[in-house]
Amino acid sequence: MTRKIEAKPQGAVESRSFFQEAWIRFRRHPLARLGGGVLLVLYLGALFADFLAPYPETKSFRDLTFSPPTVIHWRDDNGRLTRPYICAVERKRNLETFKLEFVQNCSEKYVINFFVQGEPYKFLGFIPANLRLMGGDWLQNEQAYLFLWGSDDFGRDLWGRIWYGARVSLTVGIFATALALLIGVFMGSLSGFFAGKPLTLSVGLFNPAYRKFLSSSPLPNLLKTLGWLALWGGLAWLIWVTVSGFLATSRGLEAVVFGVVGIGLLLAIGYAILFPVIKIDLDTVIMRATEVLAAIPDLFLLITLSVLIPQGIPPAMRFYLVICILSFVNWGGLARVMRGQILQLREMEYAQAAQAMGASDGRVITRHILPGTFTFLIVNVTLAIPGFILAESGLSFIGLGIQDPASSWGLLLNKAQAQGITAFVDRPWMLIPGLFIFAAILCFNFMGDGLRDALDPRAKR
Amino acid sequence: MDDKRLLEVKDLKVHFFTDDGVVKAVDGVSFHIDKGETLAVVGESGSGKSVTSLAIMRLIPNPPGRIVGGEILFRGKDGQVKDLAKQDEASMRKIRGNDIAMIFQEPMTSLNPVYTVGDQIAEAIVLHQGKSKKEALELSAEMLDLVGIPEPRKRLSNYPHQMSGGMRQRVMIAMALSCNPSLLIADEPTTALDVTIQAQILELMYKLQEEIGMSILFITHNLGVVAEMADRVVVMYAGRAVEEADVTPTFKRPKHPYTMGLLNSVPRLDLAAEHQQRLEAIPGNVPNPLRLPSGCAFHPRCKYFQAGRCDTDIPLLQDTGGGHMVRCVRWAEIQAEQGVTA
Ligand SMILES: Nc1ncnc2c1ncn2[C@@H]1O[C@H](COP(=O)(O)OP(=O)(O)O)[C@@H](O)[C@H]1O
Ligand code: SF4
Ligand SMILES: [Mg+2]
Repeated sequence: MTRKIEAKPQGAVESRSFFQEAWIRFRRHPLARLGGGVLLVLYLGALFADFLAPYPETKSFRDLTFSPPTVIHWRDDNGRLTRPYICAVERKRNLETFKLEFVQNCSEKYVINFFVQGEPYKFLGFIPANLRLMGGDWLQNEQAYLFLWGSDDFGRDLWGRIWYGARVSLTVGIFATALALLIGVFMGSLSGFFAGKPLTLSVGLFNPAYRKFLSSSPLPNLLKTLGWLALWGGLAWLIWVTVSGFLATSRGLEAVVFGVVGIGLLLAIGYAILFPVIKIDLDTVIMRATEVLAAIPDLFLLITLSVLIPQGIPPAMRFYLVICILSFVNWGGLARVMRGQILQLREMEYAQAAQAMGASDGRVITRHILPGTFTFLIVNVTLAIPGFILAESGLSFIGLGIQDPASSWGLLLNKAQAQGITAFVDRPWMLIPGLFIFAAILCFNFMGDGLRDALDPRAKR
Repeated sequence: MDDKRLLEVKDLKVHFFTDDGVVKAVDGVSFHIDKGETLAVVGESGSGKSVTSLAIMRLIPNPPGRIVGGEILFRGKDGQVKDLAKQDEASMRKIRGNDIAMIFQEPMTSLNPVYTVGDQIAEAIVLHQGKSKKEALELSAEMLDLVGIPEPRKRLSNYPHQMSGGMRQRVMIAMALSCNPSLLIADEPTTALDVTIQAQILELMYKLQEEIGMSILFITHNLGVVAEMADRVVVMYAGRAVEEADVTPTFKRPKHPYTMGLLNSVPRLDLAAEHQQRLEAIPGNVPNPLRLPSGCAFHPRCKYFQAGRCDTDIPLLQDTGGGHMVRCVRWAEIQAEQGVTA
């Protein structure tokens, strides 16, 4: 035991935090970069929707429904390149095919001006502004109409509405994920921490264990007792009200059955108050709840819940309700993965080591267990967002989500099939919102993949 | 309790109440550790070594586990003797890390990947000594220097994944010693390391003990390191101590057949080649803790087994002279037999 103790120096190690390294890996991931870039453009578009759109969100031209994209002319009559201009359009019925056709009348050229004063709006909802990307006096005087990507069933500019709709479609995912995350993380953590540790729900008052329970810490446990009693009492009252309601309207065998069931339940509650020690395993309760949720098909659940949204409420309100519904349907998955993570991290030696150094339970949880779930949650959230975007689109598509005159990609896509599937052929531009949904979801998935690769603990050398 | 005693475990019983039945992981274990002494606890895996150490820290996962009996008398830094088995959680938290520290088997996972090494060492110092974060980091650097990590100040800002296993175990030791505990529990601290690194870590612990003078409870299943590290040894089998003695007599003259078996199954580096015996493993397996054999729990694997004597009652731990305790009904006969054959 006389040899000198030495540790081999390990070469210069740069000190980068785990997240710095992950960021470097993320930036090297080509698809993730692409996804991130496209999403950035989409989000900026949503932010500056008022600027990009020539018309306000709900501005409609009733006699220009389903007008095709406005032709932009780059050459003048002599074939020379000029500033882009458009012509006025008239809607006429073709007397041979009996279809409505839009006919250009290029006697007057309306030059598209950029960065012009347009219809005033409020940037971010409170900053008054009127700068718009494209326009001209003719646009405000309605001499000609600029429908870059055509118009919808109310003659509203699709290009503009796609950007307005992006506000809903791109944020619904984030808000719904955030809410689902909140519920999921909360439930999952409860589940994970209490797995295998049933909570005492009540101790029967006449149970020998009750005296011990009360004497261990009298005041809080007395309060707890009152809590249970209130709970049990409330339950008994509910049963009483229900059963007496049923009894009032039924007779014969039915009445006997209800009476017996009611009395049986009340007796059971009485027994529960007086004798047994009742423990519940929060873990089991929560996990079974998620299973029940998972067992009901999502779309069915979504439709059922959307029926609960009252008609005629303001669009913003509707938007938030849709978010609540979406997250309610989807918290289960996040709760399950969160539970799994916690169960795994709870057994990590560093959690035990921290405890062995004298850290309290709360400290171990907040400092050593929860941060370990972050990387995992980030990835999960990115991969969950597209699901919510799709779900919102689906809801709006079947007419249960966002409703006119508000705009969302799903709702816009819905218009494409408004007059039968064959209408696609006549107005293909109505499918553009679908492309946006597709692109956004693909990009979120790319980013999720990139994040997963970047944050994967196994990639940690 | 004797003045020089630091820890005295008396008849400790830790049971796990599982769905399949009660696992008596530790069933009546007694031992003591004096100040500045190293006690090794050896035994095959599953014999209850870790559970014993966790019981001292009061970190037995509950449910399913519980200390169902016994005393764990410990002399705190203030000289007061407390029964750890009866302390509440709050006072245990003050003892953990401050009076008793622990290092674990797996250096790869016992440091949190999310925080720097400095943060993790400083955490305990801030917690127990009320120092500011800056002072704590200063002290952390000193600790890293003490455990032989070069450029300690720079290393403070390293993350665990930037260090090798040996380095991390050094960090764990630095962390454990940062609050100057009087007892260090090392639960198989070198099992997960390469042989050369193992030797370095053992030497480090040895040196630190000489410098600081803390006591060590050294848990291992590797008998090779016991002779070098420990003053006394407790051999555990199926939750009970079967032999306890100073290192020298146990290793020169083990009296329990299980200890003999253990010793015969490792190469003896301290003997010259001509004295080497053939290595032989103990036949059979560690018994299922739910269905321990009757009488001496070792009897199905013991070559000195005698029906009617070994499998009826659990043998008592007897003093065979000079504090050498053995739990075997036939120890005297076996000694005599060996004296004849040797
Ligand atoms: N959390 C637990 N639940 C049930 N049994 C356990 C638990 N922890 C340990 N045991 C049992 O206690 C016994 C001793 O385990 P342990 O002390 O870890 O052995 P070792 O000597 O290898 O450290 C084993 O038989 C094991 O089955
Ligand atoms: S009591 Fe019997 S079975 Fe047990 S160790 Fe001694 S001789 Fe072997
Ligand atoms: Mg162990």
